[in-house]
Amino acid sequence: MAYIEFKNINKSFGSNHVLKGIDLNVEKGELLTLLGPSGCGKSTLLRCLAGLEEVQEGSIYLDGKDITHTDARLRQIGMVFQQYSLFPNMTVAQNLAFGLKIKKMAKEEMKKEVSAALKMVGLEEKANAYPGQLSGGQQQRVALARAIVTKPKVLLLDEPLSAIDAKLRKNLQIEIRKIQKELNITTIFVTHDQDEAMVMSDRICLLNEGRIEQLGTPVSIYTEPKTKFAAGFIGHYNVMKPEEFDKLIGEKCNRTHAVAIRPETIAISKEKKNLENCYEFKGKVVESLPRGNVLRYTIDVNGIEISADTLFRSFSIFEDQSEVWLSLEKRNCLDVEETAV
Amino acid sequence: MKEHKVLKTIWKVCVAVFLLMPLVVTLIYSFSERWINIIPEGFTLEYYVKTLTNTTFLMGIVRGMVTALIPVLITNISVLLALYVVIVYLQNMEKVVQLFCLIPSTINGIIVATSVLGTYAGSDTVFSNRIFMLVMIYCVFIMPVTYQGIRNSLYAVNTAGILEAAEMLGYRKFHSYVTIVIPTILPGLCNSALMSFAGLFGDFAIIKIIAASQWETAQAYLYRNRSTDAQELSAAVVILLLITLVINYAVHKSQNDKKGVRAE
Repeated sequence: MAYIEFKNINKSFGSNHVLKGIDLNVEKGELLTLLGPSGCGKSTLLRCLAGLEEVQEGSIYLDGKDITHTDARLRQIGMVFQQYSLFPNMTVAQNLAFGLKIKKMAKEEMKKEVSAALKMVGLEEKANAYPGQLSGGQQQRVALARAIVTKPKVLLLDEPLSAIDAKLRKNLQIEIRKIQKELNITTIFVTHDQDEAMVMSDRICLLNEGRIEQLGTPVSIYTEPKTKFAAGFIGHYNVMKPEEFDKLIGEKCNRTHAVAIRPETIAISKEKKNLENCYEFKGKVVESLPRGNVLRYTIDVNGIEISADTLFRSFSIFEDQSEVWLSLEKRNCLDVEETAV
Repeated sequence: MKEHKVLKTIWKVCVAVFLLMPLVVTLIYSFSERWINIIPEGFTLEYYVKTLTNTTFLMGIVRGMVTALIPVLITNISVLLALYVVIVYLQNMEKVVQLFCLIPSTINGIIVATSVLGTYAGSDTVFSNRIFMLVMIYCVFIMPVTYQGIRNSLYAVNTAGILEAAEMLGYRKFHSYVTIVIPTILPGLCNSALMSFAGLFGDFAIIKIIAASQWETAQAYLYRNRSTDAQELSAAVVILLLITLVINYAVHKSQNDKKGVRAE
C-alpha cells in the first residue's frame, strides 16, 4: 500500500470541474511534483490533501488511514505557501515555535528543535529578526523550517519558489531537495516550471485540465512523452500530425499517431550527410533565439516550421534565411496520443 | 530651483498660518484678561481655574469620552468579526457586507438622528432609551471609516494565508485571528479607531437632537453656553483640544514603541 493514496478525487468550484477522478499514489520518502499549466488543478489537489479544500467525491489515505474528512489541524501535514504566510508579529524563532507550542513541548526541547531547524536552513543568526526584516529567499527558508520543525508526515510545497529571482531559486531548489533527502520526508511539490520539476523530483505527475496526463520519472517523462500535451509542455517538443510529418521528411510513412520530435535531436549542417537510419531534409532558417547555452533555430521545411537546438557556439551560427540540411534519427520520432487515455 | 523651493516654503507657511490662526487666537484669548483692542491685555489663568472646577463641564468630558468610546469598541469588534466570517467562510459575501457598511456614509448624521428619533422615541422598547439610541446611531455613523480601515489592513497582511498557515500548524482559525492577525493590524486598527473617536468626541449636532437634555457632553455644554462668557468657553475649547492631542499622542507613541521593539 502506498504512503499517500488519492482515489477517484473529484472537485468542482461551481460549474468548474477542477479535479476529474484523480487516482495517484505517493511512496514514503518520495518527492513527487505536481506539474502543469495554471488552472490545471495541481494546487487544488495539494490543498485537498492538506485539508484546506473539501473533497466532493473520492478518498485520500495517508499512511493507511482515511483522512478525506479529517480536520486540516489533525492531519500532521506541513505546508509551505507561495506567499510565505509567515506571522508578521512574531520573530523567526517564535514563528518556528508556534507549531511546537500546541504539542505542549517542554521549553528547552522546543528551543533545541527551533535551533536545529534554523541551522538546517542556514538562518541561525536571524532567530530574533521579524519576517519584515528578511529577504524573500530568507522568508521562504523560514517558512520551510516552520513546516518541518513539527516533523510532519508529509511536506507540501505550493509553488514556494515562484516569487523568488532566478539565481536564488536555483540555489533553493537544491537546498530543498537536500533537506528533503536528509529528513527522508514524503514531499509533494507544486510547480508550473518544468525545469524546476526536472531538478527536484523523484517522479513527476503532469496534470492537464483536472486529469493526470502522465506520471513517471523526470527522464521517462522527458524522453517518452505519451501525449501531445506532455510533449508540448515538457521539453518544447515539435509536435505534428502524421500528414505534417510526411510533408516534413518528404516521404509517406503511414503513421497513425501524432509525432513528437525533441529540438535537440535535430542536427543542422550546411551539407547533406547521408547518415543511416536518419531522415534528412532541407530547410530555411527563419530566426534564431539564444536561450542560455543553447541557440534555438526556427526552420521552415516545406511550409512547416520546426524548432532545432544547437549549442551556442560562435563558429556554428547559421544566418537567418540561409539554407540548411537537417538530419533526424528515426528512433527520435516518437508517436504520441492526442489525449491521455 | 531655489526660487521654486522658496515659493514652496512660503505656500506651506501660508497654509499653516491659515489653519493654526483660529487655534492660536482662541489660546491667546483664553489667557488674556481683556481683548477689546487689537492687542489683548493682561494674562490670567482665571478662566482655566473656573472651567476646571466646573463639574458640569468635567462630567461632560467624561460623558463625551464614554459615548465616543463605547460605539468605537462595539463597531470595531462587530466589523472584525464580520470580516473574519467573510474572509474564512463567505468570500463571495464581501461585496454585500461592504455595501451595508458603506451605506451610512451617504446619509447625513442629522437626518439619521431625526429619523431614528421619530421611529423609536415613543416606543416602549429598549430602543426608546435616548442614550442607547445615541450609542447605536454613533455605531452606524462610524461604520464606513471603521470598515474601510479594518478591511484594508486585513487584506494587506494576507489574512487568509496566515490563517491557513496557522491551521496547518494545528491551530483553530479564530484563535490565530485573535493572536496573530489582530495584533498585526493593530496600528491600522488604532488609527481608524482614533479617527472615529475624535469624530464622535467632537460631535454636538447628533447628541443635541437625541439626548442633550439627559446626557450633556462637553461639546453639548459648549453649544448650550455659546452666548455666555466667551473667554471661559475659549478655555474649555483649549482643554478639549489638549485632551484630543494627548489621546492622539498616546496612541501614536504606543504604536511607535511597538514598532521600535520589533525593529530591534
